[in-house]
Amino acid sequence: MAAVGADEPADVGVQHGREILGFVRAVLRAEPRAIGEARDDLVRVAGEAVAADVAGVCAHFNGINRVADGTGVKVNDFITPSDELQEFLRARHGADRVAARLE
Amino acid sequence: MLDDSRIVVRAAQRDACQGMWDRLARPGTWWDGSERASLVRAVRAARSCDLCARRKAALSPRSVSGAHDGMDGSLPAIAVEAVHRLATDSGRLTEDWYGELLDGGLVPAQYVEIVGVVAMATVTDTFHRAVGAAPPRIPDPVPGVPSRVEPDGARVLSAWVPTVPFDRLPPELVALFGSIRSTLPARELEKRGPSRVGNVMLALSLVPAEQHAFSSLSSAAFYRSTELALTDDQRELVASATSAYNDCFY
Repeated sequence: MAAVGADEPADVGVQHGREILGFVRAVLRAEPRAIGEARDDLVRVAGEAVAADVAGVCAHFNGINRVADGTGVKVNDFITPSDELQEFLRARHGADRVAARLE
Repeated sequence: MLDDSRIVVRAAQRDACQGMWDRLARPGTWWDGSERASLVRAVRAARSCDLCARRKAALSPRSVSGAHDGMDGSLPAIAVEAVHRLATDSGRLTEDWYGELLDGGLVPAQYVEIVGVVAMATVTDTFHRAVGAAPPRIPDPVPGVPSRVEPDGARVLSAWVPTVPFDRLPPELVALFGSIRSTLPARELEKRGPSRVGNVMLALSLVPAEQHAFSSLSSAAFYRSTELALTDDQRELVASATSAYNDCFY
């Protein structure tokens, strides 16, 4: 979680992870020049098909995050986050809010 | 649509964007075509709204008051508040805030339709931005009257908003979720049992048309497609990074 939220894209052990994170960050920050540069970097190492699908997954989650947090859905018991992730979430969102959003 | 993309996009991605965009200005279940087009305009106005920027920067959004940019009278002020917060600061929304929207005059189903419109406008605009295409023009409103039909069996179960339990879903949603389940790995199905889907997939079920559109267009083309050129790890990295940026709890 720390790696995906870091200021600078980090090596996260996923193929082309650094370029993917750089592109996602630029898209979400809506900086046209940075988007173009990051997209070119990703296309250079992984090709246009990967870049288009990173764009699509990012776009979909940018929408579904609004659905999840806008409706206050509870996290299902079958996808309850690990203890480590729950600790991270409690630190970030507060214990009460985390408890209220777990099924 | 997407003809000016800087990279090649899949036909399914183009079709999904076109499908979501076309329906945004058609009569919905609770808002008419003109109002839905105004909701999309409000999504775009929110991105440069001074009040939203000041709230986003504040420790608590409640500590900042004022009027949203782009209020042209085409929507109730409470709907504009809903759109702007959803578009710019969804990670800090609370059940109390949702309650204030209801106190302000929205009914739950109206709000759920707003969430669906905001989500689909966000997906479409984000994808265009990412592939270097100009944002699509907001379609002209299509005349017609909202149906205002609420599904049977909806109640507050697994979200702030009422949702429809899986065993009461309309047939078209049951069929859609069945096809989605068929794409899940066996270990995932084992955990879920015979008839369960993630709560987030039912979040818009109070307005089945919005739920169906989001799941059948956005989820199907952009996330669950078998045509994805990404490994599972890459796909989940993008999902996690996006959710972390948005401070999304789910």
